[in-house]
Amino acid sequence: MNHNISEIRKDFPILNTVINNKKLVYLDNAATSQKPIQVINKLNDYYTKLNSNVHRGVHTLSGKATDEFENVRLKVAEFINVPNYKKSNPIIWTKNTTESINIISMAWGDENIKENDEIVVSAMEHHSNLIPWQKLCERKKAKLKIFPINEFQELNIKLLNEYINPNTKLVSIVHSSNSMGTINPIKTIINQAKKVNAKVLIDGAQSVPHMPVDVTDLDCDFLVFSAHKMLGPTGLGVLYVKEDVINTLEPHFFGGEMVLDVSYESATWNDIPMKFEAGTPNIADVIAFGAAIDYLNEIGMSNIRKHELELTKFALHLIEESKFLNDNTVLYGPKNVSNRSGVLTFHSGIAHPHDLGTLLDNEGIAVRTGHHCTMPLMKYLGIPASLRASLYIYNTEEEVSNFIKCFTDSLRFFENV
Amino acid sequence: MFDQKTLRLYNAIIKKHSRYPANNAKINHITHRAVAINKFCGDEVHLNINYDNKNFLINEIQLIAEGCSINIASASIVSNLILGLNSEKILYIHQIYNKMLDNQKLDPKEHIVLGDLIYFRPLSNIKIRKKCSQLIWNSISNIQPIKPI
Ligand SMILES: Cc1ncc(COP(=O)(O)O)c(C=O)c1O
Repeated sequence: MNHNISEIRKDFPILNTVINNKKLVYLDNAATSQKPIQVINKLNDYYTKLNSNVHRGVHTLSGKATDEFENVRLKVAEFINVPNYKKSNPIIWTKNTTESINIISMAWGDENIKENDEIVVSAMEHHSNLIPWQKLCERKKAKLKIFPINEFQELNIKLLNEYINPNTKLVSIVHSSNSMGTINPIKTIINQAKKVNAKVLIDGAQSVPHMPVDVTDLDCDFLVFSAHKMLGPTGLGVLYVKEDVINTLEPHFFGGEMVLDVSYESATWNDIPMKFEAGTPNIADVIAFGAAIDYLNEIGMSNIRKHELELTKFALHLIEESKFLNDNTVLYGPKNVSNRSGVLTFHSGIAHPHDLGTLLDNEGIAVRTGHHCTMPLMKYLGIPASLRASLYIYNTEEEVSNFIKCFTDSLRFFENV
Repeated sequence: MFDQKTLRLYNAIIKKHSRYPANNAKINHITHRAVAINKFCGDEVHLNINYDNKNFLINEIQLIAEGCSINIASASIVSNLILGLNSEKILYIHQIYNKMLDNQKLDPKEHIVLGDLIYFRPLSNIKIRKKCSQLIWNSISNIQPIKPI
């Protein structure tokens, strides 16, 4: 594969779509990414040539489907550098990031959290990394602590020892913020959590698709992410659980696939990770996800990060040149670009994000407007909603300048009444 | 730079109403209130009303609207239209308004009834923004008498 962006773009059929007579400029990648033809073809191939249930029966198709399905599990383990994954693979298939977190909040949380224990999340969490912990704390009379952020929407790391202390049993934190573009210093957080014997869950929904993430190096206990944000199909999530923790986990869903031996009275469980996957799994999407991982590997996660960082720098440069930022129109997120992802979030007092979004949509530019599933953060920032552009491997400088120009023109348009 | 479709929706009348909404002054004898909030986008409409119990019509109105310009402009225009009207006439305006958003043809009489709401006609082709203009109507359907202190 050629790593030239124009070559990459040819793999994404949807990028040729015309919206309102303009060529689509897709800048809503934090919500979901587009899919390359390799992934689309893989789905089609599976249903036309391979469809059958996995781990059941002795017929050829079932054997082939099982091999491909399990092969992707190995690929994902290698992708995030799971130690010893060939011996025992702790990659569990779920529906999405949200389900992965919910499972941990119940399967691990209900067993390990007691009254007055503390769970720490940050002020910038997605609802999916907040509400499961609110409910767990309610059930267990435990305390949910919100790690504060500073004026650049970065974690206030000076408070590390105060928030992550001997009462802390779990730190569940987003690696890269979907609404502010902040990349959090998770290594520092994990180290502090280790010191006080707390477990750490990393919400990698916005980091695993965009940069190298290595669980051997990080030494986190849980890592969760969604296939649909990294060129893969919707309806598939990943839950990685560290070996010593997964060995203590009891299954949470019961039924077929997850059992070894069943009588009318009781049952015993299958091996890890199958004991955590009850019922027929999402076979087609897992297999297609394999093609997405291949695609990302071919380009290289460091190259993807580099491309997005360069585009972000380019965007920041154009934003500065356009001079629209002031007390009334702000760009959120860290000032140091190396702590930023390819997420650019704005709020303007001149026009509501939905109005700006409608104008951009008319130019074929797809951005997200709203609260980005981070309502508490929006309330904290004192804004009802914001406008977010988020980048990925197929975005170009031309698209970024098109967006900045239209955004600037939209602000002017609403300024003049 | 923007094409006609956009300019038709964000026309001068709508922009003016969204920047300078009507009926924003305090009123003295509030008899009724109404609130409507869209939790998904944060848009809000609050109405303070002086209702004439003898003649069954809206005497005075104070509008507080927040959020996108479609919500604010729609609330502003509607708050002007419903002054001095009874609930039957107000409902009729809403019916005609929905007819317009449904892309149905209006007769000249219906045109007149809509007043400045006619400027929202381009919304009929922008499905996801139609609901922004409906929050004021939701609030109207929620008008409640305030309890005497
Ligand atoms: C940081 C973060 N966490 C969690 C999620 C939830 O992902 P999903 O909707 O795939 O479960 C998202 C998706 O928007 C996200 O950006």
